[in-house]
Amino acid sequence: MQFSNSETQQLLQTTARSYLQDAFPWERLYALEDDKEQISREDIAKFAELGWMGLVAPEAAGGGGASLLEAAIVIEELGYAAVPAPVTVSNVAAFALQTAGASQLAELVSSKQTYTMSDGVRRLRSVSEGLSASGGKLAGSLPLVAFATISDVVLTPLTIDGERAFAALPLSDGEQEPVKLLDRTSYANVRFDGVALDNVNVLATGPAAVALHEQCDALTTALTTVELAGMMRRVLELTAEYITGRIQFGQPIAKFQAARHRAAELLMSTEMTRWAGYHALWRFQEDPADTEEIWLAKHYAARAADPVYQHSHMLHGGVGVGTEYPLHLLTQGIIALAVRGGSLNELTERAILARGLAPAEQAS
Amino acid sequence: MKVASMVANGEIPVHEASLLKVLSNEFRVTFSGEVLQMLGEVGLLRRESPGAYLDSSDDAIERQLRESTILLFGGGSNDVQRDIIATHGLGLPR
Repeated sequence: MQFSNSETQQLLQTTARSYLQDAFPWERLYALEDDKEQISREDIAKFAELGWMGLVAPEAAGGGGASLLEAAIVIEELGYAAVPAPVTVSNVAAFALQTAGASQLAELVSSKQTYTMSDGVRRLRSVSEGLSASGGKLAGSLPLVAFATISDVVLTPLTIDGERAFAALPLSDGEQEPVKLLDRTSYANVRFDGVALDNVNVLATGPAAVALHEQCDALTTALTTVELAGMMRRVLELTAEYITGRIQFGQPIAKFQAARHRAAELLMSTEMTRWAGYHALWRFQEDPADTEEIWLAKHYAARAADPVYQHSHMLHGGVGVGTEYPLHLLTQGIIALAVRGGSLNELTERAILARGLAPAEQAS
Repeated sequence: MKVASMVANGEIPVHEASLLKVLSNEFRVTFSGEVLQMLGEVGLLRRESPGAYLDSSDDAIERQLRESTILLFGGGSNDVQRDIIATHGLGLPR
C-alpha cells in the first residue's frame, strides 16, 4: 500500500490548487455568497477542459482514466478552496454510466451535457416516494437536486411499473423550484408529474438498479468526506496562521496552552478524517460492494467537523465571523458537508446494514 | 435561575455567571447541530428558500447554527470564562 502521493497525484494536486486559487479568490466566493455571482456553465466548461468532470471515466471514452483515489485529490482541493462545484456529482454520474455501460459517458466527459445526481432522495422513506412511473408517465418529484439549474441530466433511482430502476432523466422535462442552501450551492426541487417516459434512459432495473444506487450513494459519501477533509485543512491552516500572528500580553496567542491544545485537536480531527475517507475510498475502489467503511468514515467526519469550526471560531474571536474574513465561508461549508452525503442517523443505519448486523427491513 | 436569584439578592455572580455562559451557548451550538443532523440536508435550506424549517423571520435552523458560534466568544470568550471558573469557582492559582 502506498501512503504518499505518486507523481500523477502530486501533479493533480498542484494543478488544482493553482487553478482554484486563481479562478476562485475569496472575493469571488464572497460574491457567490451574496448571490452576485453563480457557478456558471463557463466554469463547468473550464472544469471539463481540466478533465475534472469525468476524472474517473476511462481514457477510451475521453475521460481522465483516473482512479477514485486520484479523483479524490481534486475533490479535496475543491474543499480546500471552498468552491461549491459540481465535480463530485459529475464523477459519481460518470462512475454510474461507466458501470452501466451507457453510451452517454462521452457527452458527460466533453461537458456537452452536464450530469448531476439526485442525492436528495436519501431522506425519503422509499425510492417510490420520490419518483415513479406507470402507464408510460412519470409522477412525483426529486428533492434537493444539486446544481440542477446548471445541469442537463439527473441520474436517479425510481420505480417503473412497481420495479426498481436507475435512470437518466433530462432536467428540461421537469419543473424546477430553485432553493438556496447554507453553503451557497444552487439546488432545486424538480417535479416530473405527467412527463412521458420517452426521454428517460434506463440504466439498470431490478437488483442491478438497487446495487447501482447503493454504489452511487456510497461513492458520493466517500468523496464528500474527502471534500470535507480539504475544507477542515483550510480552517486548520487559517487558524494556525492567525494564532501565530495575533499578539496578546506580549506574545503570540499560539504560545498559550489552551490555544495550542485546541489547534492540536483541529489537526488530529482533520488528519483522521482525511485518512479515514481515503482508506474507505480505497476499499470501495477494490470492491464497490464494500461500503461499510465509507459510512463509518463519514460518521466520524461529521462528528469531527463540528469541533473543528467551533475551536477555530473560539481561537479567532470576533474576526472569525466577519464577512471580510474567509472563516465564515469555510464554517458554512463544513456544516453543509457534515450533513451532505448522509446524516448521522442514515450513516448509522447504512453501517449496520453493511456489517450485516440487522436485516434491511429492521434497519430502515 | 440561580444566577438571577443571586442578582436579585444583591450578590455578584462571578464564576456562576461564567459557568452559565459557557454551558448555555455551547449547548446551543450542540443543540442546533443535532437538529440539523436530524433534519438532514433539508435543514441547510436558507430561510428564504421554500421548504426551510422554522423559516419565519430569523429562525431557520441554518441561521441558528451560524449565529450560535458567535456566542462562543461574544460576551467574553469561553476560554476566558473557564479561567474565571477555575480561579473564582475552584480557587485555583492564577
